[in-house]
Amino acid sequence: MADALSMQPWIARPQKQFSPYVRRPTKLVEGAWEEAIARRKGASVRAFDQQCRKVVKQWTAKIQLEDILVRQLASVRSLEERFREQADRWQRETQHLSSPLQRMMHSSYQAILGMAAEHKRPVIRLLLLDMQQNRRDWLLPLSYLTQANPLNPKDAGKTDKMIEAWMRWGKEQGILEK
Amino acid sequence: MIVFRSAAEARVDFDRAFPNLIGSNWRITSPLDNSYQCIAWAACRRDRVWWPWDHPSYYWPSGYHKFPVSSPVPVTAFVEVFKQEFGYRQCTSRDFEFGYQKVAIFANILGVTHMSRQHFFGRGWLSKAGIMEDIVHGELTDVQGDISAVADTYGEVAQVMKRSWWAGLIRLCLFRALWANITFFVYRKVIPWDLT
Repeated sequence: MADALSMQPWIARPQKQFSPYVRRPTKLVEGAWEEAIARRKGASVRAFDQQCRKVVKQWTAKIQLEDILVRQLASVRSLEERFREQADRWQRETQHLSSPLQRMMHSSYQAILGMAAEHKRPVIRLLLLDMQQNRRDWLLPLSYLTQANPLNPKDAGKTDKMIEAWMRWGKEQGILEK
Repeated sequence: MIVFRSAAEARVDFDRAFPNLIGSNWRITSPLDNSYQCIAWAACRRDRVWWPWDHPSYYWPSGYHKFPVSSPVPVTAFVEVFKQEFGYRQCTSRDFEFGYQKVAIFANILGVTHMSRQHFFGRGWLSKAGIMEDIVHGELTDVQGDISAVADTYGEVAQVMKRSWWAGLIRLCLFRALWANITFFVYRKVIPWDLT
C-alpha cells in the first residue's frame, strides 16, 4: 500500500486543479491568483508587490494618455462651438449698428480675435465658413489676421462680391475645400 | 443676402435695440439686407456699404479724406461729403420744411454712429438699422440712445442738414427712393411675407 502511495502520490496528496470551465480572473484581480501561487511556492511577497506596482503604473499611464487624448478632442470641438457661440452673440447684439468701430468694440468680436491668437488657421477657416454660410461681415478680421487683400478696389463696399473674393482666396490657400 | 423676416421677429430685435421705438408708430419698409447700411441709405444708395475708413471693405466717394481702420470718424467728415456730393447744407431745425429734404447725423463720444434721412414728403425719418430692415419712424428720438462709448446705441443727433427737393431730384434720390418703394411693393405681393 505504501509503495502504491509513493508510486502514485496524487492519490495521497491530490494537487488542486482548476476547472477549465471556470473563467480565469481578470487582469486586475489576477494579482490575487499570483499572490496565492507565490504564497504556495513560498516566494517573497515583496516581489509580488513590485509586480503589482508595475501593473498599476502601466494602468495609470494608460488612463492619463486617454485623458489627454479626450481633452485634445474636446478642445478642438469646443473651439468651433465657442466660435459659433460668440459669432451668434455678436450678430444678435450688433446687427443694428452701422459703425464698424462700434461692432469691433463688442466683446464677442474681441473674443474671436483672442481665439485666433491661439488657433490662427482654424479661426480663419471658421471665419471663412461662417461668412460663406451666414454671410456675416468678417472682412476686417480676415484682412487683419491674414494680412491679405484679395478684394478688387472696384468692388469696395459690395458685400457679395467681397465675400466671393475671400472664398476664392480661401480655396487658393487650401484653407477651404475646392 | 436678403432675408424676409416676419414683422414679429424683426420687432423683437428692434425693440431690444431701440427701446424708444416701443409704443411709437413705426413700420418696416424693406427686407433684412446686409449689402448696404444707414450711410448708404441716407445717400439713397442700396448697393454698397459706406464708411470713411481706408480699407477695401468700405466705399467712400473718391477725393475725400479716409480715416485709418479702427479710428473714430468725426461728424465733419460726413458733413463735407453730404455737402459737396449731395447738395446738403447744415441747419438747426429737425422739423419738416416744405420743399426741403433733411438728413440727421447721429454720434456718440467716439464719433459718427448712424444717419437718418427724412421722408421726401415729411412722413417721418428713414433709418436703415445696421444690416436689419429699413424702417420709417416718426421722430429722431425714436432711435437715439446713450452717447457713451460702451453703449451699443446711436448716441444723439449731432448735426442736421437739408437740401432742396430740386437738389435731391437732380441727384436721382427721388427716383431711387421710388424704386425702393416699388421693390418693396413687389416683394410684398410676390413673397409670402408676414408684415402684420
